[in-house]
Amino acid sequence: MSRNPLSSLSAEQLRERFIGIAMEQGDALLGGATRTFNRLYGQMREIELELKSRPSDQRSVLLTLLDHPNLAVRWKAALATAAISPQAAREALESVARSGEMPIAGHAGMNLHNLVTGFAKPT
Amino acid sequence: MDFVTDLRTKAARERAWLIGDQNWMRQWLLERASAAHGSKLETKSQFGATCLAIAAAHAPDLVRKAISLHYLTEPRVPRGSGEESGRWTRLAGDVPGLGHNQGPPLDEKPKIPSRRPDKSEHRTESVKRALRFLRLRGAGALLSLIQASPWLAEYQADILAAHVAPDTLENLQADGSKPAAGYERHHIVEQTPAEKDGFSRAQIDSPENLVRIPRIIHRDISAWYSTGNPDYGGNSPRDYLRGKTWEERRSVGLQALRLFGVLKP
Repeated sequence: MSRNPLSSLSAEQLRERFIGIAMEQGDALLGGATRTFNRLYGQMREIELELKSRPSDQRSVLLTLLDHPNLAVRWKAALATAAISPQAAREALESVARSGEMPIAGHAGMNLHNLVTGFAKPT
Repeated sequence: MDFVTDLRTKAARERAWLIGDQNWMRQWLLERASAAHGSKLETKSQFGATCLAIAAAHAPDLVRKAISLHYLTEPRVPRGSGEESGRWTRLAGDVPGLGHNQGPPLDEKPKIPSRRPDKSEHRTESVKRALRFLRLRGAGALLSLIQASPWLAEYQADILAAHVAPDTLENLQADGSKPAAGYERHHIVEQTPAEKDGFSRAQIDSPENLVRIPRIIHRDISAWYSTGNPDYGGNSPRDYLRGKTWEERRSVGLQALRLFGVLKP
């Protein structure tokens, strides 16, 4: 059985990778590159799952990103931490949606709508 | 136009704006343009800037025409002045009523290449950065970007169309099949997935399902439908909606129009 390469990285290293991917996703949305965004979505999901699998669910290392200067990072961190810190994540999503910086604000607004209505159930 | 006539016109103008009579506004702007052409340079320039402000505030579909007028009336460096010849004498930012438009500090300007990028993705990115700058700094700032990156003028209609305020569903539907620069026809319930799932073209293309929205925002909404989303189990909204009812598709479509700034809440 092959070993997951992410399992050899520290939580801090995974966090840094998360930031890089989020920023690339933001650029992809800005450029209308949905294929790039979707490819990166898979990579980010692997990082989230790796952190979640670690003792005490180490997605908590992403909480500091809710104040990151980059809008895309804040948005993706909010989605990734919605299950472990719902209130902080929701406030971060509200902030991103209110920024009006499209298209990310539109995406965040839809995520927020789905959270508020109960359609989205973060795990 | 004498003072008395102008006063009556001003009262009529305010009434037209209150009731949203765009035909009257359009006539008024065109008549004032004709009058200004015979005026002194300072009057022409002030008229151009005023048109821009009024159009941006009250008649967004006329912003493009107002910017063209501003191009014509803005003072330029005279011929024979070397490298500066023909350039506008100041940043096209003195537009009353649109905020601090004296031209933004250079380090706040978005990085937009002066030459047209070869890749579509890079052009799209630059156009959206220009739109964001327009929203932050006003029409004059956009003009300064176009002056530095002339290829952006090709996307001027797209940028200006995306700058308008959200509108009612009735108005968006009323324009649904009328082509306009910078706009595209949009199906509230996405047409291709709906057709694949057996909904009729009559329903898909009905006036109730068609709106006219800015091209840039249309592309952003389409991208939202196409991208992986944790709310839908990692699937795209488009994949999630396959097999769903018309009502659920429409509800999602309307919400997207609201949250991407096209439809009034």
